[in-house]
Amino acid sequence: MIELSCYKINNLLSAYLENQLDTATTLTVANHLENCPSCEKELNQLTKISSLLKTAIQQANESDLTLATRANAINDRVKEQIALTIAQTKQPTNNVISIQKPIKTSWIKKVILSLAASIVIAMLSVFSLTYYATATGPLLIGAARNHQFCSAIELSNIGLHKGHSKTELSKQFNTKFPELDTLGIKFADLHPCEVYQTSFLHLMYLKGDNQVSVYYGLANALDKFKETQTQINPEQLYLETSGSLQVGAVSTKENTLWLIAGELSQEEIKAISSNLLKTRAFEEKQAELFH
Amino acid sequence: MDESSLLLTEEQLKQFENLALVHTKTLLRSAVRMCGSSTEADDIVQETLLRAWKYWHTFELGSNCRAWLFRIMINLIHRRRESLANNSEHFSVDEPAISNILRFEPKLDMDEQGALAAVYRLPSEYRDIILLVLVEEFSYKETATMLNVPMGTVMSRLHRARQMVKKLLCPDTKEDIATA
Repeated sequence: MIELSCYKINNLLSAYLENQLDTATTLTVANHLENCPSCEKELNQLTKISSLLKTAIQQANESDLTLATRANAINDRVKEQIALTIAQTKQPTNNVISIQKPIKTSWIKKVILSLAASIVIAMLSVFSLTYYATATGPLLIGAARNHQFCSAIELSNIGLHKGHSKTELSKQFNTKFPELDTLGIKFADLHPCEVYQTSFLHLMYLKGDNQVSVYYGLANALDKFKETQTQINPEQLYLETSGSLQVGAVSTKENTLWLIAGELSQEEIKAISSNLLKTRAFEEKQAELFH
Repeated sequence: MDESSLLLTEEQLKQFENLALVHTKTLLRSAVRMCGSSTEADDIVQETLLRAWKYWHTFELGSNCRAWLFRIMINLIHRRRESLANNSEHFSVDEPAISNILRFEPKLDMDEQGALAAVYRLPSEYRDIILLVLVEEFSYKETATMLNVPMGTVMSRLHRARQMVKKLLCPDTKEDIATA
């Protein structure tokens, strides 16, 4: 039997764990492991990590109770689309049916584009509030327990704002409006982001035709942000660009953090951050809701 | 469309429902992990299924439909990632500046929560391998076909991914074992 070095054995351990090696190599590795405590320890660690990864991902999935509902909704939309195409197809060739791309109205497209671009920030928003700027100030529309509902609320609210009916939107998101209307609001349900171990409130409003997302760091967001920079100056705006999307981060003198995202110019982001630094209204509203 | 074509389409549709649409939840579960956004995942899965229907005549009955659907979905995800990367001047999840703002570096514990956080810190090609091999339990061969890479690449990426997770969860351990 061929003797392999610990280094080579180490590189084969993943495949050994998955039973992906041929018989001869499996025997070589097994034989080595019997006589090498160091490689055996490495294998045990990898086994533990694999098991943790599998359990962690599966548990995270199982906690998403709406996965099945969403899958059913997708299937319904796909079947509907296929049925529509079959009905519209007059002259099929070689049994191939041409499929139209999913139809999205422009307002949905705009919001989805923006959400997709701010995806990582959006992931941070495990619990979300949606506000609209009105003549009298921001108006609380809804709150969600997780980002999935948050997105639905945002999209729905924009839809309502643009004059779409609730029935139309309920069908679009496969979500009943009474459910959305009564979601959350109780802040006892607030929990920190599992991945990033911090919490944000998400405010969203329309600025002209553009959606602006503002994230208010609740817990230790600023501390986390500080870990990423050599120096953080209060009230100094830190900017990132993503194509048409601008992302800004700014800390207050009171040690809280705002993140701003939108299809805006740097000047507009600067203006919004400047307003955020001045405003006390939201913090008062937050205090009222939380305590 | 004549009557026989309609009958054929209805039969194909039934077949499609029984073989492909039963995997929607599985596809969605992985898409959420790969895309990181529920909204995007829903779009990707819907597009995957519509594409699968379009090319249903090329699917070999009796072969692994789940693997076939995953291959379509992964192609779409890769295309989206490339398009996002090409359209972004500075912003990319994998780029240091933005990831530093958003990724944060809390100390990870050797538990499920720590492991989940560690997976999200991996570059996408390593995260994909973990999802496909460890969670979805595809073979190395199936994974290699899906990702359009040699089997050796799957093996080395999975090994590297495990090493990276290990490094994140047990930062004090040596990355590589001493050469004997």
